[in-house]
Amino acid sequence: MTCQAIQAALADYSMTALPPDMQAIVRDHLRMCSVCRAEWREWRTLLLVLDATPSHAPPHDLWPEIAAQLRPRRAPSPWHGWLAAWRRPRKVFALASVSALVVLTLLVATRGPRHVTLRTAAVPEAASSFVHGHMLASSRGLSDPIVRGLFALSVEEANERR
Amino acid sequence: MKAAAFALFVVLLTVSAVAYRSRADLRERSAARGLLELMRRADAERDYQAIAEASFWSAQGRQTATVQVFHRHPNQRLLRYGERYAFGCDGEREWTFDAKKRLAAYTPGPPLPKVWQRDLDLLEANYIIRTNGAQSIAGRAGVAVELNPRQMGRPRVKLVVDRETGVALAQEQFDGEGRLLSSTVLKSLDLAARPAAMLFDPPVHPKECRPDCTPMSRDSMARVLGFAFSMPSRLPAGFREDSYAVYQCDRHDGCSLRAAMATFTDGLDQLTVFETRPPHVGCGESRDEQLFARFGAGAVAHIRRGQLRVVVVGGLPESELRQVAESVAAQ
Repeated sequence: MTCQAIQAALADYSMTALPPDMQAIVRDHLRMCSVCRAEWREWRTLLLVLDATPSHAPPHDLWPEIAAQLRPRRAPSPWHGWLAAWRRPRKVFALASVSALVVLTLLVATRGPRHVTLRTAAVPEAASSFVHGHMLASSRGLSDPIVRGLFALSVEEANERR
Repeated sequence: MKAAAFALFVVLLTVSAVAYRSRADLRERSAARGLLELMRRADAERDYQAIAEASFWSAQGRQTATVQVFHRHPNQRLLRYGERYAFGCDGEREWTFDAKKRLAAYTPGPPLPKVWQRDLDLLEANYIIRTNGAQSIAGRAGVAVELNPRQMGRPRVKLVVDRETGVALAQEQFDGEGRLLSSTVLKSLDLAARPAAMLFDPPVHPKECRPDCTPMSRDSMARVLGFAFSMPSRLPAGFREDSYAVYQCDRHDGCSLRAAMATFTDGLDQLTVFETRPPHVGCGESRDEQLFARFGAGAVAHIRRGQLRVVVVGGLPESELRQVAESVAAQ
């Protein structure tokens, strides 16, 4: 598998959500590939941060108020035990966090039908000045000079937004 | 006897078909190469004025700019991105100018035809060049030229070249999976225009970044800088070393940097590797950091470890730039 495919699967891998054989393929790849390993470390850090996010307990009088507005319960069904788990706010919060992460990953991976959308950040000020040097040094290449100018301008604008 | 004659006939027919196909390929390749040479000559020798719309896709979404394009013989060029940014050549110096920061960068010399020929050979070694039909843009009849990489995962480029003048009418770059990274299309083209010579002069009294692009060896560069440039142990396939220079930049925030600048090319794209070591004057405190960012068809990898700073800029996928930067920083 290519690094790109491995990196696309890292979110699921971090949550052990891949089929076992895929999980093994990704694990083996991470042992060998420092680039993907670095990417995976970022995912793991993100998950750890999410995990460490404190869950806020709702006010004690919130649930009685909501319960009072609900219709009377029906007889317990076989699903009752399973559904009860969903009513615990901590679990719901954890599940919502993980779902949001997965949705975010999917959005980032699939945004737009044709165009690449990549994670990015600002470039440090010192590094951005080198982009101008690159512009000049590469002016004799065949790559599009108009787009190279737009690239240099975007680096500056991203720095200003930072 | 009849069977032998028939076999001979089949062999001759196959050989003729292969020879015909090879000649057709050769003709198509030389036509495509001829168009690229025509495009390069138009860049240096034609007078024209155009309006281009350039776009690329990044994490901020689609970024678009309307760019004014001016060309004047010989070798004078100006690309103006609104009031903020310009990229030009006055025939002797290439320059960029950020009007907001009043920061300019210069380097001497327009490209030499000999170097261009060498680049074209390297381009053919790394890309399959072919024409792909006619296309009309901005009222001009153009021919599409495709550059398909021989290496998997490399960007693919499609150009539309004006078949009469060689002016590049459009250019699109796709990533290894065929997704559009950037595009430029001329919205109008005035071949009768004769832009004024003073338009191409670089700005006066800016803060400066100045690569000393006088070709020098790695040893000479080491003597000037006081440290030896660490060659990347991992270079993307197809790239070879091109030039060395000293890059010096007095930035608007008072930081003064001197860096070793090494360039590598595959004929289409260029990878520029900068390495700085102390002392940096007025550049603030040093802390370790790594940063990799992509902006459409270009990306930057930045690693700072202690007093060492490595910056790699180029049009390759971010992961490849990262490998190059890490291989320099690891030494």
